[in-house]
Amino acid sequence: MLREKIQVPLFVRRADGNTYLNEDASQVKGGLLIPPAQSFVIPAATNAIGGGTVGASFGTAPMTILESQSDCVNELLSLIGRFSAGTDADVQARLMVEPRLFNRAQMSACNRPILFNHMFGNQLNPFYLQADAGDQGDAGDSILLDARQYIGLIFSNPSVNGSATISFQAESTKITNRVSDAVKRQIDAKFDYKRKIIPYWFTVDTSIAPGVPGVRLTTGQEQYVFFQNKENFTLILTSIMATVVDGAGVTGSSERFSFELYDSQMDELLTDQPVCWNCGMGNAQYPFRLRAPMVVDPRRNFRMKIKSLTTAGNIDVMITFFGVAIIHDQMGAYRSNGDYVPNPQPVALENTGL
Amino acid sequence: MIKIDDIIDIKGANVSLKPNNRGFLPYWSSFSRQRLPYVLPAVGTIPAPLTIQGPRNNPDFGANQMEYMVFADATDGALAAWTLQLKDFCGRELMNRPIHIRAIAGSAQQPALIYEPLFVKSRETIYVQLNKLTAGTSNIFFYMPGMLYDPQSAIPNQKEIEDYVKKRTEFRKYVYTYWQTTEQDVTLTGNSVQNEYDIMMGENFEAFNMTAISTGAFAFKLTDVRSGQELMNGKVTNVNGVGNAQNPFKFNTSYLILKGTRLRFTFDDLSGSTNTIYIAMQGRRINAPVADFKEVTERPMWMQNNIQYGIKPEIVGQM
Repeated sequence: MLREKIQVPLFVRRADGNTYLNEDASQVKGGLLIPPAQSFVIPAATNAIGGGTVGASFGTAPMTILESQSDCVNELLSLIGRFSAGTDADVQARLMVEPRLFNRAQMSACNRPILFNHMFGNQLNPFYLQADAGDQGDAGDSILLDARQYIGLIFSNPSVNGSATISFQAESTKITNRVSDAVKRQIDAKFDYKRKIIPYWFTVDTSIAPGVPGVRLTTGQEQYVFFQNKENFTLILTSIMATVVDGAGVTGSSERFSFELYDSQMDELLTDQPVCWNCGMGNAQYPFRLRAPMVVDPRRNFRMKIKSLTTAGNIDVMITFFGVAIIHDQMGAYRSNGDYVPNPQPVALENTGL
Repeated sequence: MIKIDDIIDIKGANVSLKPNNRGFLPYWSSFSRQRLPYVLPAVGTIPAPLTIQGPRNNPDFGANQMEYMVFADATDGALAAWTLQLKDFCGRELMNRPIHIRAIAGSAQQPALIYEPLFVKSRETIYVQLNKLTAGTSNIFFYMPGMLYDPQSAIPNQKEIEDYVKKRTEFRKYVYTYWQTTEQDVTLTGNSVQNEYDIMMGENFEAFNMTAISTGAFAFKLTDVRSGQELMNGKVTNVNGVGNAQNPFKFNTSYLILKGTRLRFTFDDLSGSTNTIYIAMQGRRINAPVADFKEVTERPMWMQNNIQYGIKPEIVGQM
């Protein structure tokens, strides 16, 4: 296991042959990181587009942060969040969040805003950033925050159907600065590679409305959607999540839609048959874990064919992949065959012939 | 299963991808030549067997490793009532009798994990027999997601992927996924007690979990008939003793049941009315000779260890 957890044994054996409790172990403890405000309200959007439930002007809240305390390092392991104040289903399904990793100079951990219920689980089934406790598969990677480092989250509400009251937290391992040098060395080693690996959410390029990632399907409609990695890093995707919002008067299969997935490298079809929603995609509480990760090279894309299974009405489908981004030096990236590809340099004007 | 750590290399601050990362892809297998949703006829009509075919990506070394079983019943939803029976590519049964779909398959959110993955190579076919248990037809979706071995895509490391396929091909001759259920249908009359139903082990079987679907509450006890050994000191209710495919009751330590063993379930009905029970144990069959206790204990210690752990061939690896 390369990215193993920090090892602090509960017992140590000394030269005298006796076993003692390890004082270090008492400095490594489970904890929760919460934002400065326990809960906050995001107002509804305004100016409904085309008579739908999505608005042109989003309700937004100021960016909120999860900050590590000044005397410890925090390793964020899972995300837990919930709605209250009786917000309707439409609001819940449309709330979006964009995480910013300030330990990586404000780098965004997603390609576009992500649905709240594709990022936050609940207290019974948290959204694990790294591997689950069980044997159901791999997830992404934990976030390591040094003392006073923080991540920021920007919430927005594109629904015109009501406001949302949110509270959230991250489950973490807290390692105080009173640990021994041996543990500190482990932390340093972890920081070394944590600069290169971050958890990453990856969603579709198409939009239901400006700034709302997703695809709107009419009855029986079939459409290709693309997932474009426009960045200079490699994605390793391990999980899929999807949410469907029914339009007015939807009838037909309870499965709502099916999909066919293509590989990013060879455009190889990865499904024997179109896969229905509940046989291929989960949610933040129960993500569908792929049994082998999908690798997406820098500046490459892959596609998915989605088909509505309804017999009447429109559906909005929002799909998110989760995994890790392997960040390369600012000058280039690794391709999936192991080759190092330098980042294209800006072209000097004198070389363009202009 | 392939994890992120299997395809990346971390050396200090350098993180890179291993060349083999393209050799494994996620894959969803399903019925071949059959439009989904499949219309499953009502009880009384036995449909023709369906097939699931191996991949066509590489004739020699393309293979599927099916690791989950998921289904959706767009007609009956959570009350889906049909059974499934699987046969291997060589006609080998993968369960002793048909098993209730909710005792064997989950959903994408909570898939049923196949502990010993079903390995199917290119041009091979597995057979699926479905039977509805209730009236009315059902529109069903059924998949076995897992991973695809794709040696052609992993050009720098094609040989490594091909070697995996060879090893798995050899391994499955001796060890393969299997589900065990009772030898007869279990139907209890209301409030009846001490109803005995047996399972015969035709081959060594290592059980990992136990699931059951029933029309009412029940209590049960499990006994090894030959030795008289009971696996519990009293009867356990279905709520405490079995799960379903989505949340199975996992044995803390896998339960190795040797060939020729007869296991006996003793059921009591707690529902007060007719109670139909579909109980299943998931695991794998292991076709290997067994060293008897006397032989093991008479050998030196280092050889005892070899015997104890030698049942699991070395080629299992991380797959």
